[in-house]
Amino acid sequence: MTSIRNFWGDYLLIYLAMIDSEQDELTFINIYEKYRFTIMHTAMLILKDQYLAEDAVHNAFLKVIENLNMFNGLSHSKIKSLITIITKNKAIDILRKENGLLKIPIDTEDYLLTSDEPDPLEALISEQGYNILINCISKLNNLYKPVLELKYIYDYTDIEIARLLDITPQNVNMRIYRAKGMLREMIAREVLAVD
Amino acid sequence: MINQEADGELFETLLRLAVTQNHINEMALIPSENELSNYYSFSSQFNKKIHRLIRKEKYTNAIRFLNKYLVTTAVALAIILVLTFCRIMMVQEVRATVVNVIIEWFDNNTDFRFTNQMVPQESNVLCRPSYIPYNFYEQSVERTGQITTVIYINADKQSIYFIYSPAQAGYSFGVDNDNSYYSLVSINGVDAHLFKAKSKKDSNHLIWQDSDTSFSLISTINYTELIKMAKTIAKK
Repeated sequence: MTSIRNFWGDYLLIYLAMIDSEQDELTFINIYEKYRFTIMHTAMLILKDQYLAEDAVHNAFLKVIENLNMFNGLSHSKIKSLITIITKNKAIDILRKENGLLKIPIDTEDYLLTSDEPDPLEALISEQGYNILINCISKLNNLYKPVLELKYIYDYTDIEIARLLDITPQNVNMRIYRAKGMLREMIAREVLAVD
Repeated sequence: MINQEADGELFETLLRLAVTQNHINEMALIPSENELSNYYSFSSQFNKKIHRLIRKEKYTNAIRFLNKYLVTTAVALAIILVLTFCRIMMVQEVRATVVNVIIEWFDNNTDFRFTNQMVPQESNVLCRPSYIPYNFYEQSVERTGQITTVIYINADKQSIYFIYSPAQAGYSFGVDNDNSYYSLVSINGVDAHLFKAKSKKDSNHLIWQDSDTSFSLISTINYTELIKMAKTIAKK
């Protein structure tokens, strides 16, 4: 255990060398000390490979350093959540590269709910319906879920989300639009199944 | 319309709550940091990898930094140079030296500027010599502002440039003193400045001005031919 801590201590110095202000240094040390293994765990859940997970951990730390100002004033739970979202995104980026998947262009795979499907909103206004919605969100593709989380939990703008996820603001907008479309379709399907 | 808006807002509110709740549920599944520290360690390769990644990141940052500050640095340097030059020029000896260099340059280059106090006006005067040396013909006429340039050429690709403009246009040009002999000649009772070329590869220049037009003839052909042409120039 001690050796791991020493090992991580070396890396902390490397990361700190990249930070300019004292306030940012303290923020980063706090994040690093409290959540480094959570970051590793999140990356491992997606990548299932030590080597790739380490890459994702490193990329996540670089992203945190780039956006340290966004962590100021956040509660511990929100910091942990934000780091988890960033790490998931970095892990998914690596996974997609490994699988040879290209980024989805914003003008393709457009999703539209057909008029024949039942309106899902009516079904949601009940405890059962709300649980269906939560269940659908949990099943949502990892490409779309982080965008919704950053928008609805953190109230970030498209530009801020784009900066955190390394995509364009237009892409953020398109992902939100598609995520909502997918959710409507999933809910409609679930409601039909229940009926 | 109102119903659609209300539906949209309701869906947004439910979605916000559900996304947050789902995220809380997911976070609750992550074991504590202490527990995780018992499960995970980092490979020995990670050290090398992390240094490589940081080197790459630093290189990219360096390029970004260079791009950002290159322009600023160039402007700052330009300002420093100007200020330094001005400061140096305040020293009398240096100023005298610079002035001497400029005078020397003017000694080697004669600058002609035909002008008067009248406001320039658009001129449509057409000037042409009635005499053109044997085998030469008018190849082109170019007009740039108030300056007209007529080019004559012959079969041997020799050329004569006939340039004229209203005197008030302030047309100016320089002649290299080092490669020519200067003399004054008379063109229809007006003094003309003749610069005879010292070698065959250099051009002869004949420059003069009548009451309202300035002329120049430039060519490597014999200067006497230029004088003959000049004497036959008529305005239409």
